[in-house]
Amino acid sequence: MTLPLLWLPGLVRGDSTGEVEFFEKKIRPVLVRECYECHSAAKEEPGGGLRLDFRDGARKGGESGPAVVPGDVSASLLISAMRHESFEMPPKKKLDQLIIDDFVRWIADGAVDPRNNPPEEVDLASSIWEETFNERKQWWSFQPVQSIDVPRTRHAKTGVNDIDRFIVAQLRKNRLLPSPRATKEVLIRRLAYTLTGLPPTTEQVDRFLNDRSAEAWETAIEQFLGDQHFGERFARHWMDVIRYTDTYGYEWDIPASSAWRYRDYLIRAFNDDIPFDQMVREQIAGDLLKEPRVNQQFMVNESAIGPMFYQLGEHRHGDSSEFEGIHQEMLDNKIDAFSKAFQGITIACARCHDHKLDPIAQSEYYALAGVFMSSRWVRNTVDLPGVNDNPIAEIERLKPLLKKRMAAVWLQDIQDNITVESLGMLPESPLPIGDINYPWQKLYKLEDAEIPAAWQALKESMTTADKEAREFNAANYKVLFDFSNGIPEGWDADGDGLAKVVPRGDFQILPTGPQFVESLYLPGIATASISSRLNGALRSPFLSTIETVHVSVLSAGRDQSAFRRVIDNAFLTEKQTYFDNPRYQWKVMSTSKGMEHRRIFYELATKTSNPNFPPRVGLGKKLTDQEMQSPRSWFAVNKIVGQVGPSPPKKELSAFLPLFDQSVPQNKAEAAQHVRDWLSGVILRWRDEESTDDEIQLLNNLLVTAWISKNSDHPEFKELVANYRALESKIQTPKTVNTLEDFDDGVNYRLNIRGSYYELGDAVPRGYLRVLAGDSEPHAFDVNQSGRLELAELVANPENPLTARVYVNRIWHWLFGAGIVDTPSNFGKLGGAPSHPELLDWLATQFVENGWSTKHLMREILMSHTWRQSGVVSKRALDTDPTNRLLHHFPTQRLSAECIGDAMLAVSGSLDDKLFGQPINPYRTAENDMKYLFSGPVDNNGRRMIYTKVTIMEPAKFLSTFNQPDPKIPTGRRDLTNTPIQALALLNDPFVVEMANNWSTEVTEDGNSQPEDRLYHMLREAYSRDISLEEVSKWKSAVEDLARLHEIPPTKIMESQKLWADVAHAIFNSKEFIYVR
Amino acid sequence: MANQRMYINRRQYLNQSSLGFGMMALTSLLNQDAGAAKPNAAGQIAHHAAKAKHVILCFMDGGPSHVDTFDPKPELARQEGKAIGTENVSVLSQSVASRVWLGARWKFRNRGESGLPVSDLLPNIARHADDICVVRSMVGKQPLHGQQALLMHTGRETGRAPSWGSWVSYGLGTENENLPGYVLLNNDWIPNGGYENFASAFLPANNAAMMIRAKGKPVDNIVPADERAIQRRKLDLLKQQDAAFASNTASDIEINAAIQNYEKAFLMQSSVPAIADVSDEPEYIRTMYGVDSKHELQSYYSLQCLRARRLVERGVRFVEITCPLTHYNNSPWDQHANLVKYHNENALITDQAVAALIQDLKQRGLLDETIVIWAGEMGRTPHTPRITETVGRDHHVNGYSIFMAGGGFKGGTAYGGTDEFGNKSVENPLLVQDIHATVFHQLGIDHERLTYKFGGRNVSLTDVHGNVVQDLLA
Repeated sequence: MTLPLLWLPGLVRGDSTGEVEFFEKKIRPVLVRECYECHSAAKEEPGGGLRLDFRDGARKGGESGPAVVPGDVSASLLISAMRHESFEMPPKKKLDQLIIDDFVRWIADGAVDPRNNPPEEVDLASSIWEETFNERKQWWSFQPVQSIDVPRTRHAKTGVNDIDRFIVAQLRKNRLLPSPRATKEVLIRRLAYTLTGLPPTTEQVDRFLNDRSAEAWETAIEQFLGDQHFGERFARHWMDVIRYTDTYGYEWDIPASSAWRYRDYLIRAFNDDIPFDQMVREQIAGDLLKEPRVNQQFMVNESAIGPMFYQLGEHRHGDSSEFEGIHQEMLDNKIDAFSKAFQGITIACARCHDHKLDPIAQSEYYALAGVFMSSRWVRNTVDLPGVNDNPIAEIERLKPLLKKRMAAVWLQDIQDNITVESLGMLPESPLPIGDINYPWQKLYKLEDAEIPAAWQALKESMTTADKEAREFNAANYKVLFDFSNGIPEGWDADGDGLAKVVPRGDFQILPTGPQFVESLYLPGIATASISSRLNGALRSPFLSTIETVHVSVLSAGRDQSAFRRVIDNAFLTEKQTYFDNPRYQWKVMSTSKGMEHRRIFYELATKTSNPNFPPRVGLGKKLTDQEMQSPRSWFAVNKIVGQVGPSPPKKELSAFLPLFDQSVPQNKAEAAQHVRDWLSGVILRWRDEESTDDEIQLLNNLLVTAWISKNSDHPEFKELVANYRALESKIQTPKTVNTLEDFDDGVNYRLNIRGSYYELGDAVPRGYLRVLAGDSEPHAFDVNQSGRLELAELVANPENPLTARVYVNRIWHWLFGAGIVDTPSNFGKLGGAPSHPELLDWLATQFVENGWSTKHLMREILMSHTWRQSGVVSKRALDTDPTNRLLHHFPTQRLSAECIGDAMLAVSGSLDDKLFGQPINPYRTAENDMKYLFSGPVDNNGRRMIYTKVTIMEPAKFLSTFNQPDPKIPTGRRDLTNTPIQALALLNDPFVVEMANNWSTEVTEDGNSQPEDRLYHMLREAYSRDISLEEVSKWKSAVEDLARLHEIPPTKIMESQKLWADVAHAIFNSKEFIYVR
Repeated sequence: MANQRMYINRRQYLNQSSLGFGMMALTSLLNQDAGAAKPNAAGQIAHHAAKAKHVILCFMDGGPSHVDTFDPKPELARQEGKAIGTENVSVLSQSVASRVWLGARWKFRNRGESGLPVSDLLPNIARHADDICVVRSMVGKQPLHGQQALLMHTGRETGRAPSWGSWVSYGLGTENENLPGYVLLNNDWIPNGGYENFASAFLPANNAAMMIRAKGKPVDNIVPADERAIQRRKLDLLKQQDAAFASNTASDIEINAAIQNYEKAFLMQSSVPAIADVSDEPEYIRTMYGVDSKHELQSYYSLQCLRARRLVERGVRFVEITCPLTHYNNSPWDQHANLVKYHNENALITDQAVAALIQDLKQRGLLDETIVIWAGEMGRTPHTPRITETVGRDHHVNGYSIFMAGGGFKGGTAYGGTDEFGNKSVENPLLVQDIHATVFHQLGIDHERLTYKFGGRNVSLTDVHGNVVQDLLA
C-alpha cells in the first residue's frame, strides 16, 4: 500500500491544528461534494439513515453500522464503501485513489472532526454548492488564458510560421510529419471556397498560378479577404451559431420580418472586420452603447441592429396569461443562444437545477433571466437621425399654404352648398345627437312658423345634453395621460412619426387617391402628419401603475397600425387589434386587474414598428400581399382617461352651442343662414389656430359630408397636393428591427423551483456567472436598468476565459472544418478536449492583442503551412490519428448547402452577386398561405443562398437536404451527412436542372467548334484545375453516347442545348464539384 | 524516394488493411449514413424478441374529442349547461370556472364481442372494436398544439430531438434497401411544431421521414429528370470521374459512400413511385379504403392508408399518415367551434380508411406484426364557454383517448380512466412516453437502451420517462 504523502505545507502529524486543517482541506470538501446530497439534512430521509454532515452522525453511522471509527480504518464502513468493497459509494463513481488515501489517513490519525453540531439546512445547500463550484471551476476552459511561448522547432524552414510550430511539435511527439504543401491549383480553390463560399473565377486561378513571386500566396489571401463575398460567407457561419431565422416557427411560422437587417449587418461587419469585442458589445447591448457605430453610407446605427440576435430562433405566439410558459420559453431560447454563441457553455441546462456538470448555479440562470426580462422586447428604429430631414422640412413649409387654401375653399363651399334645398335632401333615418346635421334634421320638415319654437327646444336639449355629458365625464373620468403637449412622463417612444407633437387641427395629406384629406388631428401624437410612411411605437408605463380597472383612449388610425397589450414581453401577443378609423374614437381597454404580478404595457404601433407584423393569419383580417408589403400605416392619440366601468366618456356638444348663440331664426332660410355662419366660424377658427378639440371633431364630421371639397384635382389644391406627393415619395421607409430596449427600472426574476413556473422562489439579483466574472461571490449588477451593458462588458473582456477562446476556435473550425475544440459551442465538461490547448491560448492571446481582428487572425492561420498542406495522408498518420485531430493533412470536405447552390449559380453564369436585401422565398412544391409558406423562384433569383428565407416550419428543402441546420437553436458544428436523398436532389431537383440549362445556354454560344475545347473549359471552370486530354476524351465519349441516345446528329452536337445541359448536369453531380481538397 | 512510400493513399491503406475495414464500410453503406461517426444501431437492438415489425401512426392532428369518441360520460350529459366550478379548472385544459359542461354530441354504443363503447362518430372503426386497445387516460404537458405535437413525435415539448419514426428506423434499420425506414404520408398539411415532427434531428439523416404526398408529385426529386438510358450513361460517366477523384483524396471512404448513394437513388426512382402507385390494387380493395370517394380529401386520405399497407408489406418500419385540413383552421381536428360539423367531416375523411387499413392488414396476416396507432396530440375540453348552435370544444390534455390495434396490443379493451366528466385522468394515467416505451417493447427495443450520443449525453426517445405498460398487451 502506498502511504499518503504529506504535502500540505506546515502540516505535521499529531498536531491538532494541522489535523483540523487537513480535515478542512482534504476531507470536508469531498464529503460535502460527494456525500451530502444523500447523507445530510439536505435529504429528508438520508440514505440508509446515515448522516455525514456532522461528527456524531458519521460516528454513529446508519442502519449498517458506524461509518467512521476513529483510528480503525477496517471497521469504518466509509472506507470500504469508497473502495466499493461493501457499498459502492458514491454510486456509479469510484473516487480517485488519492482521495481515498486521504480518508484512510484521516481515520487512521483519529478522524479529527470539528463539526460539533448538525448544520442548518439552508447553510448545507449552499455549502454543497460551494464545494461543487470550487471543484468544477478547475475545468480547463474556466482558467485564465495562458500566455504561451511558441514551441521551438528544429530546422525552422521558410514558409513555417508560429502556428506550424505548435502543430509540428504535437505531430513530432506522435512521431508524425505534416503533409507536404498542396498544389497551387488545390490551394486557390480551397482558399476561394473557404473565404467567399464561391468557386474562384478562371481569372483568379490564372492570376495566382502565374504569380511566381514570393508573395503570391499573401496576395491571394488579401484578395479574398477583401472580396465583398467574404462577409456573406462568414455571416452565414455566424448565423448558424446565433440560430438565424426569418420566421418564428411553432404553430404559425409568424414572419420575423426584420431579421434580414441583422443578416445584412453581419455581412457588413465581417467585411469591415469590426473587432469581435465590438460585435459582442453590439449584439448584447448595441442599443445602449454610448458611442454607437454608425454607417453614413446606409444611414443606419449599426450597433443598434446587433440586439436583434435575441429575437431570432423560435418564438411563440400568445402570452403567459393564457398559457403559462410562453415568455419563459422565449426567454430560455435567448439564454441558450447567448451562452452557446458567445461563451460556448450551456447556461440553459441550469434552468431546473444547478448545472449537472459545469460551475453554473440555478440561481445564475435566473440572474441572467432578470437581465433579459428587464429590457422590453420591442421593434425599434435603426435609421440615423435626420435621414428624412430634407423632405420633412419642405413638407412642413408646404402644409400651411395648403391649409390656407383649404380654409378659403371650404368657406366658399359652405356658402354655396348649404342651402335650405340641399339640407332638405338629408337622409330620413334619425341622426345621433352629436352628428353635424342633427340640428337641421330636427328642423327641415317643419313649416317656417314652427321654426322659432323648435329652435328654442333644440337649443335647450343640446345645451342640457352637453352639460350632462360634461358633468358625467368630470365625475367619472380622470385624465391619466394627456398627449397634447408631448409624450407624457413614463411613456416610451420610438420612430420619426413621433418626433413632433402635432398642433390641433393639423392633418394628413393622403399620399394617393382622389381625395387628399380625410380627417384633422387633435393635438398630440399623429404619426402621419408628415407621411404615413414614418413609423412610430408608443409604449405605456407598466399597467400596474394605473389605478383604474379600465381606460379609454381617444385615438384614430389606419392601415393595420395596431393597438397591442404586451404581457411579460411576449411580443407575438394575441391581444392586438388594428386601428381602422381615421376619426377619433374612444377605445376602451382593461388594465391589469388580476394580473398585477405581470409586466404589462400598451403599445400603439405602426406596421413598421410592430414586432408582430404581419401577425399570424387569423389575428385581425386577412391581409393582401400589398398590405403586408406597404410600409404605410398610422395612428393618432390625444389622451387617455381612467374610469371604473367599461364604457367610454359621453360625447360633449360644446362645438354646437355657438349655433344657438345666434338670434332665434324666424324661418328656415334664416336657420340655414345660421348653420352657414356657425360652420364658417368653425372653419375660420381652424384657419386661425383657434379651434377647440370639440370643433376639430365637428370638422372631422364635416369632412365626411359632401359640404366641402377634398378632391385632389380641385384647381386650388391640385398643384400643392401634387407637390406634396412628390416630396412624400422621397421619404424613406423606416428601418426597424426586433430588439431589446432598456426603458424601465430593471426587475429581478424569481427563481422557478425545479424549473416550474408554477412554483416561484425568491427573486435573484440580476447578474452574471461568477465563474466568468472572476468573482468569488455571486456576481450581481449594481444598476437600476437591466444590466445588459454590464453583461456586454463582462463578455467582451480579455479577462473572460471563454470569449476569445471560443471565438478563435470558431475561426479555426470555419477554416479547417474542425475546431481545436471539436464542440465549438460547448467548452464545458461535456464538450470535447482541445487537441492543441497551448495553441488555442496562444491564438486567443494574439487575437486580443491584435484588436480582436477576425481578418488578422485568419491571415495568420492561412499563411501557415498547416493550412496549406495537401490532403495526402500516410498510413502511419492514419493509424496513429485516424480522425486527424493532430492535423497531419488537410481534410477533404464536402461543400456546405449554401456553397453547393452558390457554386452552381456561379459556374452556370446565373449568379446575381449583389449584396443585401429582403429574403427570397425558397422554392416549394406546395404552398400554405395560412403559415406564410409561399414558393419562390426555382433559381433563387440568381441570389446567393444566404438570401433564401429561413423558415422554421418548413425549411428550404434543397438546403436542408445538404444540412443547413434547424434554426430553432444554435448550431456550433453542422452535421455533414451523406444520403441517397442528396443524390436524388442533385439528379432531379428543379434547381439543379435549371442551373444545368442556364450553363448550357451560355456554353452553346461560346464560339467553340470542337467538343474537346468546350469540355476543357467547362471542366476547368467547375474544378478550377488543369484538365488532362485523357479526361476530356472520357467526357467526349460520353457526349457522343448521349448524342446518339438523344438522336442528335454529329453535326448538331455543338448547338444542342439539351446535350450540353446533360454535360453541365453531370458535372454538377460529380463529387469533385461538391468537394474541396 | 523513401519518403514517397509514406504517402500512400487511403484507399490503398484500406485495401491492405488486414481488418478488411474497407469492405465493412462499403457493405454498411446501403443502410446508413457513412458520414456519421456512429456505427449502425444494429448492435443496440434485438434487446429482446420482437412481437411486431412495423408501426403505422394515424395522426389525428388537432385533437379529436375524447368524450365524443372513446370515452363515454353519461354524467357529462346529465350536467350539461352547469358551470364546472373552480374545482374543475386546470392548467392542463383551457378552462375557467364559468364554463359549462357539454355532453357528447354522438351516441355511444357497446360494440363487438367485447362490448367496447365507441361513438357513432366513427362507425367503421367501431366495427373493429374487438381489435383496438383504447387508452383513455393520456396526460400531456400543456394544452397547446405545438408542444403536444412535438411531445408526441419526439418525446420533447420543444422538439430538437429525433422523431419517433426516426428512432424506429435508426433502431431497426429497413427491411428493404430500396425504401427508407420511415415514410410520411402527407396530406399537404404540416402539423403545428413544423416539419421537425418528422425530422431525424441528430440521428443520421437517412432516418428522417421521406414524404409521399397525397396529390401532385408524390415525392420530391423522385421522378428522374432524364430518360433512363440518359441517366444511366451519366451515372456511368460519373462512376469513372468520381473514382478518379476519390483515389486522389484523403476522404475516399466518404466519397465512395456518396458514389454508392447514387446507385441507391437510381433504384429508388423506380421503387418509390411503384409503391405510391396503387393502380394495380383490385377494385374491391380500393372501394374498401374509399380511394375513389367523391369527397376529394377522403380520397386522398384513403389513398394514403392504402399506400401505408403497401409500405409495411414491403418492409418499411414506420409510416405516419397526417390528416388533411378541411377548412381554414389551425389544424384539422381543432374544433373550437362547429364541433359537430367538422368532427363529422374529419370522421368522414378518416374513419373508413383507418378501418379498412386494420381489416386489410388483418386479412393479409399483417396485423399481428403491425401496430396501428390512432392518436391526436390532445383531447378536447368536456366543457365550453357557452352552448350555441356552433358550439366547440377547446384544448385539453388531462385524460384523452388514443388507441392501438395489432402488433400484440390487447383488442377490445379500454385502459385507464377519467373522472365522471372526462375532465381529468384519474385511473392509470399514461404519458406519451409510456406509449413510446410500450410500442418499442413490441418492436423488440428497450426504450432505455436505444440511445444516441449527442452533446456528450446518451439521449433516448423517452429521456427519463416511460414505462412498458404490460396491461395493454395481449
